[in-house]
Amino acid sequence: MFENIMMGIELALTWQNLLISFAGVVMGITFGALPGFTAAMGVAVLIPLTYGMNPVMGLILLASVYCGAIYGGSITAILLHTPGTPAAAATAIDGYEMTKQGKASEALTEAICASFWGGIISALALLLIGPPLARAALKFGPPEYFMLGVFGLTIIVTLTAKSLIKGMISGILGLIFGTVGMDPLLAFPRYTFGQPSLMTGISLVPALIGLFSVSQVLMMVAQKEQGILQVDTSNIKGRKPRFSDLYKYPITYIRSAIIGTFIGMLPGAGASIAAFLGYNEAKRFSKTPEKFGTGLREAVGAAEAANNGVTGGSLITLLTLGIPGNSVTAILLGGLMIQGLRPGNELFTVNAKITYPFLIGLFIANIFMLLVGLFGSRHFAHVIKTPINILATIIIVLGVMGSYAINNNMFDVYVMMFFGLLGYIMRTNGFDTAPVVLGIILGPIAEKGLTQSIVLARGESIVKLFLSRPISLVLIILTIVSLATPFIQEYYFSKKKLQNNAN
Amino acid sequence: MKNADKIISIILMIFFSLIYYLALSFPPRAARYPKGLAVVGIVMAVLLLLNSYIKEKRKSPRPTDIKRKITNEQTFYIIATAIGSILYIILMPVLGYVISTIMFMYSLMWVLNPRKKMVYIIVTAISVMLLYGVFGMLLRVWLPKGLLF
Repeated sequence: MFENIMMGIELALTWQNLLISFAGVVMGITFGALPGFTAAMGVAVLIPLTYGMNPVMGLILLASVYCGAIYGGSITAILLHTPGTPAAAATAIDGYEMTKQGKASEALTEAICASFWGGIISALALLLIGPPLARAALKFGPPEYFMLGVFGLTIIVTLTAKSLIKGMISGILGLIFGTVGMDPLLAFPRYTFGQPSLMTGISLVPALIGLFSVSQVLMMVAQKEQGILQVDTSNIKGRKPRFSDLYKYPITYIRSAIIGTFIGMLPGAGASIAAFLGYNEAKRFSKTPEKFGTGLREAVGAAEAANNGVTGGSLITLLTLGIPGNSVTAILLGGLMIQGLRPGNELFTVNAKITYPFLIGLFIANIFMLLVGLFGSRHFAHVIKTPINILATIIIVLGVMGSYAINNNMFDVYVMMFFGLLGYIMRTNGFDTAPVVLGIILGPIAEKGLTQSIVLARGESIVKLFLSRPISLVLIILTIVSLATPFIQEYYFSKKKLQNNAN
Repeated sequence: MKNADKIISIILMIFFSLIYYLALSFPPRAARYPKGLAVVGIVMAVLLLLNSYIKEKRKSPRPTDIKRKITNEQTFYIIATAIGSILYIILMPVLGYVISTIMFMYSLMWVLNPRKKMVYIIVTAISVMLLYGVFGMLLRVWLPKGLLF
């Protein structure tokens, strides 16, 4: 593994890669800072730029955008109490309080330093856990892959949806879209309506651009007043970052980064959940928990280290098992597939020359993020002044180009528009779009696993087959736990409420 | 909101039934999985419908629904953006990439906010040149040519 890392460093450190990483970080922070623009949207819109690049460069660009965007949300959260991405919602609590007390630049410095550690620690986790986990994935047979698909879907449904029924419906819609194309057993074309473009299934990237970018644009144009938000940057000046800012709260950084990495590994749990968990845990361990919420610098760090910890963590499950942990990695999966790369052990052996430079690129991205953030964060606050009508138009044009350029095919553009409108209708009615994406990706994996398991069982009970294999048994238990969690939570909260009322 | 849920659950029931119906013509082994999904989908849609009735009964007089009110102006912006985008991609093979993109960008920006016309012309020109340069020339993507170029 050591040789691979050395090779990765050698291949990653070219001036082209460094330049592209720097550009990616800047674009990512810009996207993150814009309220309503998420990391997923940024990566989805920029994916077409990677078509013509070599795989290492393309992946480094996407990873840099990802890291930058997750951090970028904190800038507007701190300065304007408007989280640029949902991931920065926890940062806004204490960050904005600090701004009101005139300590905006201190909060911005804290956010970038904590984000840096979150990103670096999780990238290290990816480098250390990734390869052995990928080898372990070789032991996965059809039953395990089926259960992995089922587990991934249940967890995203229970975690993201406000209503369990609506979450389930979103997931089933995704699974049904996943059945379009040839079936895994007989290669019979299902729901293709004679369209040759649908034979290999619905193209993933256009569907993602539609669900995340186009639907977001439609939601944005309704609230175009946002563009007139005034940014007062006059009180941000006056404090130069010091070296000691980097190690102000080491324990908090490490704790939050580990939480972020772990949450990132779980399918469905995103950066916003990680940030709130990191914040809560820091509060629990703190000697002065009552100061949380009043503009505490450590609180900003706790939230930011956790949400950037998600970046590396979510890549662990993506690269080793092919299971995207959140919507950004779902799009990254599309980016991998365009380059002809398949997640799994192969990525760390046959394609080590691509994978390791990419992993090293993640460290580079975090270093650039630190530099850009430390010296330029307040400038990014100005992007919020860009009028929404211009942004909306550019996003649609980029989305159309991105969908078209994958296969030089207008049909993919229509697919994008279909999913854009569908996504908008779903989101305005309380349905989450993330389960749809996971359904499209996990559906074929799960179905293939199931049909092959039936063959494997040779007429015997398939349930027996699933229960007799240790990994699949663990996954079954995890699935049951994740399905039961919302009910347990509800029970727990209602009990707590009763207790509070009694007091 | 709850009323919308009722309409949506009925649309979903029709959609899932259609999925089931189409699967009837597949070979049995290829049909099993989508049929199963459709059945679960129908059950969920029924649950959603029941749920919306139950919620309605529980909190029936609820004048202050949380649903944010969308003004007529906002509805116009959403519909204009959606229809504009659809027209853009339908007309692209006819008019060609460059012409259709110029028309789409300028008119959508103008419809959404008819003020800074000069800015829109500059933004449109730069975007089209960049896109055509990067994708059409650098990456050699074969863009729709249309009638003119």
